[in-house]
Amino acid sequence: MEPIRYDAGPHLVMLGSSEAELSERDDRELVPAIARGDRAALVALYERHAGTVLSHLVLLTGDHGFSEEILQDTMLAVWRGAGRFRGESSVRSWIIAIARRRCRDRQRRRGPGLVAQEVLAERPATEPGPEERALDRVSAEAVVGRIKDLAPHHREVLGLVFGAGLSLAETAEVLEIPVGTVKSRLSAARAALIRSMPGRGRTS
Amino acid sequence: MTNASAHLSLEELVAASRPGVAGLANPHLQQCPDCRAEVEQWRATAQAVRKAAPIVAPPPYVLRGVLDEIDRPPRGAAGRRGRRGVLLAAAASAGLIAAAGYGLWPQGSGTGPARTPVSFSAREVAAIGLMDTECQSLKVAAGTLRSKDGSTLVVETAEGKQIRIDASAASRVTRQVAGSLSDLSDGTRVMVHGEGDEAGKTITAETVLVGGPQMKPPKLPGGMASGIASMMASRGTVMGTVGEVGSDGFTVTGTGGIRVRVAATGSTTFVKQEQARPDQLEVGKYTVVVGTLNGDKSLKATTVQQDSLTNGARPSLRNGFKLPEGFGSGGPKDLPSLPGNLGDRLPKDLFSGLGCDSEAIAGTALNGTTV
Repeated sequence: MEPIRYDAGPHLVMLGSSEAELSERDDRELVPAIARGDRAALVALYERHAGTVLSHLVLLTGDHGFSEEILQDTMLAVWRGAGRFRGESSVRSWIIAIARRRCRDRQRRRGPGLVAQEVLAERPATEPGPEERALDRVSAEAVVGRIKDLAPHHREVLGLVFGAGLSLAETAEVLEIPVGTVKSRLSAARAALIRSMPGRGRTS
Repeated sequence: MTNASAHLSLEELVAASRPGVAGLANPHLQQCPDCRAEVEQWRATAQAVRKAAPIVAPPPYVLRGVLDEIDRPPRGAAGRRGRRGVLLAAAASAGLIAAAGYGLWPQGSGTGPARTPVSFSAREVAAIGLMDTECQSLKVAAGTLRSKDGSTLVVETAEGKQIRIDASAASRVTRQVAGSLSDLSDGTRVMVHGEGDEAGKTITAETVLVGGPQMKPPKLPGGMASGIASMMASRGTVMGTVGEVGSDGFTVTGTGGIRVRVAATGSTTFVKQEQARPDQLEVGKYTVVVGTLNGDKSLKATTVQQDSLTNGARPSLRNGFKLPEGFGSGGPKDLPSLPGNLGDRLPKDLFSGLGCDSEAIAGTALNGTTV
């Protein structure tokens, strides 16, 4: 069984609140600088968030090359649209929301694919019984494979909350849905993950 | 409001499952096995998600693609950057340390209309072989020092015109000598040229001009400065103030607050501008004079600077060097003779933004220009 790694890189570590506030303050200084045409500020913002955004896009699309193109589009949109950032959301969730729209636009142009996630009815999460609470007892590798097979909107909500580290409120903004829906979608995603485990409930 | 007996909300469960959050951070978890189990489930989920989409730095070509795109303003954006910005970028891109060395000469009619000096028209100034600046009273002579007699100098321009210089009242006379890394300390002004990285954060120095107050970054349109500075750093040129000097290099804080780490190697050349007396200047070397025009068409110098090391030599362009395509007002095509055969004419707005600062004007004429 894979050891739990909470230290896989600076991006993976959720910052303690003071550090998170610090980084957000930095972000909020960078965006107006970008709006003034400050290339160095764009580079700084890129270095801070590009890894997270790319990883989320790869999780969504399963396609590295495609995701890199969207990341590039996204950063250009940030460059051109920084003046329109109103500070109502965190900078990270603002960037991710742009990436999400770019991704959808591209996928639409590509033809039918992962579109129309929103029209899927939110099924209420089935409460897992004790025997289903098994995720912590199977190998992480096994779970990883299942995540890739989840429905796109489930992968997406998991990626936003646990990959990009957004709060539920930020996730709701990015997905343009109410927080309540984020909660039910998140629970449904986990339930689907558990259901997908072969021989669930068994220890590994 | 969490009281110790209420189960955790989904929000709280998720928060407790974040990496780095202590296992039983929430007091309720210490007494509730159900919630503990829930947190463990979310933790396992979170861990699997991060494993499924590990965060790795994107390959370098992604950022390069972004920067290439933003370094090339769309058509019609020319006005934003202005001709000087274009020139600066072009000159910096090309690595033209001594850009101004080959042709500060106004093109007869090209000197344009009139910021007419007190007693000489622009055309007359051009005819004498001088160049106008933004400052009505300050003119520039640049060329080879032909003779010196005490504080009277004669500079011959590229067009063969001889200009008599009275340097008796010059507040600053300098010549270039070889320097070294040890000439740098916190606050020293430098202009560095070398090989920059994509992000404009590090430069491996080929030449470091160790300057004085004459190295004044030109003013750029508000907000553009650090953007242009960063782009130029990525093309290998930065100008600013030194800090963090070490045995392998130093940091330059440049226009718009950009910070660039400069690596100095064994082959880095340091050039120092050293205070000199007029009689210490060398005949035959490239010399720049800024001053006011006398009635007898001689120039009363406020500043004399000599390039005694490279003698205004044309720097070689790096192999395969290319200007960013379409850069600036209609692109480099719009800039005759930049950069490959810069030779003949640099527009006089080379000095724009420098006002009546004769040191900055002379420094620009001597060393070329950068941000």
